[in-house]
Amino acid sequence: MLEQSQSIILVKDLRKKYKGAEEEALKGIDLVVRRGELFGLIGPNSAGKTTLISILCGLLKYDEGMVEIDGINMKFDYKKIKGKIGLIPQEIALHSSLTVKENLNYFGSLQGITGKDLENRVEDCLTILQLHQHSNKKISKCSGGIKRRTNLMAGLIHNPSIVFLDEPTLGVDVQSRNLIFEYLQDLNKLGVTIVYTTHYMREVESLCSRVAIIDDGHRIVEGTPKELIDANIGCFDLTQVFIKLTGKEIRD
Amino acid sequence: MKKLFAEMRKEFLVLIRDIPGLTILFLMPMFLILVVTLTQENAFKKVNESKITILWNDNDTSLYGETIEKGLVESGFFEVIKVINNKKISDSEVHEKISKGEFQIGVIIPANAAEISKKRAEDLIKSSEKKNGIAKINDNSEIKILVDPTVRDSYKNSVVSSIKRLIQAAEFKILIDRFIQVMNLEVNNQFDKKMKSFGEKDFSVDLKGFAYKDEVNKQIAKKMKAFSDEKVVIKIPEFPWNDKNLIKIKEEIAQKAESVIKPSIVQNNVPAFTLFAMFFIVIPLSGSLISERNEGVYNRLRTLPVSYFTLVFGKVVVYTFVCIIQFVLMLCVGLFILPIFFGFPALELGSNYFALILATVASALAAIGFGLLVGTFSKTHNQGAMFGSVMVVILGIMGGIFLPIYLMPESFRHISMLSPVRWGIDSFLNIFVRAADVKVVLPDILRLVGFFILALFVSMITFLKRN
Repeated sequence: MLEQSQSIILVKDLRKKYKGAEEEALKGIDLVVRRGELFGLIGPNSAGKTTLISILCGLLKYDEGMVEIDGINMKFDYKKIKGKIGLIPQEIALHSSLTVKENLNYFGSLQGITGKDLENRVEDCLTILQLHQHSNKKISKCSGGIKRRTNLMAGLIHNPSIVFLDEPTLGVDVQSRNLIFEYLQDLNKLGVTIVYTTHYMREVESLCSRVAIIDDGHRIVEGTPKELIDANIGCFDLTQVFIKLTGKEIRD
Repeated sequence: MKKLFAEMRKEFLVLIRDIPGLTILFLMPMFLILVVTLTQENAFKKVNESKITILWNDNDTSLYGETIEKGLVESGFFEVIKVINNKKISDSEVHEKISKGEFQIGVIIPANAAEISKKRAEDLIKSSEKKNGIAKINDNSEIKILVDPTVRDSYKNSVVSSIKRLIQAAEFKILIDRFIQVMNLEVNNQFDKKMKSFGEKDFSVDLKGFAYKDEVNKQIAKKMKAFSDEKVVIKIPEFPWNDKNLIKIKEEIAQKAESVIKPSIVQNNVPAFTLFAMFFIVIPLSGSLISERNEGVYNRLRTLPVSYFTLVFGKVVVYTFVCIIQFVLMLCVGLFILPIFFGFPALELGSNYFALILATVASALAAIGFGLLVGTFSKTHNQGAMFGSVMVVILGIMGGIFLPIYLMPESFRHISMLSPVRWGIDSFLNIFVRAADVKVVLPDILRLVGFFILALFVSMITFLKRN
């Protein structure tokens, strides 16, 4: 009950089967993300991470179970969570023929930010992730790091209270990665709940306050990184825990 | 060599696994050939098998009109329509139906055609006798050949000259008949006078059919042989050879009385190709939709507090604006470039600018609707671009851009009614060539807007269902 009252994301017995698929992608997942947490969601390929994130963001409908985000039942009022969440997808979801600044302006406007507010927010975004000198470059002409940073800011321009990050540091150099981490930690300190998925276990270990490992459509385990390491005798880091719980078998 | 084979194998596998791409690659050209062949087949057939429909109103109902009608029907090229909905059509109905484009050619025979033609034949024969040239026709009666203003010149000229030739042939027959009667009378009069001088009373010759000088003299010589060796010379009238029609033929473009538009190649082509160009908006529009979907932008957009309708409507407004610019540029070609640099007649915009604006916006919306459909159902940029452009060409052919609708087979004319390009062309031609007002073009405008709404609805439903 304590967990539920503190939760900002509550998932119960969530099931999802894709049309034409033989097996369910999610086989009754339970999950609780607390308000203000930096929550790591990890799992091998095809574990169901992207399906779960897509459902939590309202991009996919689920078959059974219950999902509540900030007290809103996703089944009935998923439109109400729009604006509260920020999605930073794995792919560079930006308009390649627009500049960095134009993209931020565009997504900010669609979030309902206007006038001076928008101008200030765009300026902030450019400053935070050091994008100023590239602000007038078209996305198609930008390096991978600039694209990733712009992709991140496009999902955060409206100051969401819940942020979903799907491998935000994929293909990014160490400097950019550090910059992104620092910003995410600052954001988290401000009370923003962050759900972070990645395949880099060290990122999760250093960033996340709690972690859930999912595999084959099930949540296998949930807890702080320390709790998970301590609970698995012989494991000294999260990578070992992960391998121990999900096996060495190569996934699809 | 192995590297070459490896590359070839890879390319082959990539190709055969792109089923939608292959389908477009093979099926679309086949479909294109089919459509082009079916539409053009009739154009070639026209001169051999298929008949040209002529709206026919004979106010004379004598042998004159019947002879021409028979000539038209027996030529095998024409089908004469005199009755619509069990009712004989009137002059005004012929004019109205041609001006509306329901029929392309109409013929109106004046009430006193037979009388005039006979009188004219007599005048001709008399004037020929006196050798004082062709008599002038003072009667204002005329045969009217009415032509749809959108009919292309080459088609119009060949059909109208065929009708004129058939009218001339019928009149020639009338002239011959009349000439034989006059000649019979004249020869017998002269012969009678001569015979009376010999004291004989009844020596008439019977010139059946078109007997001419030799035959007349042969018969007279035969008759004379019986009682005199004197050579009788009869003055035989000259046949009034004439390349003019007995009744004036007036070729008229069936237009509204107040219309000042002169049909021309510019007047016909500019609106048709403007519309064709508008539909090519499908390529950038579908490309934009496909890119957004494939690059993940859509997923991000769906998490934003913005409706799909707002997103699509934003595109619709911009692309409508693009279509309007396109339209204005094409008009400028017709208004300035063609007349100034190439000596063509300048495009006339007609008098109803409101109808023109409505038709332009409606056509732009239909083109955008088509772009939305292509963008929704195509998976890749290439699919969208290829399918979209080939479909625009097919819709253009069906719509009568390359071959006029009236030259298409009957069945295809009905199918062409399904093409939004046809609705757009019809409304533009009505405004540009027929000087139509909003009331006339409204059905086509409603079809275009209806198509846009349907396309928008289908793409929205598909989008929502897909997610």
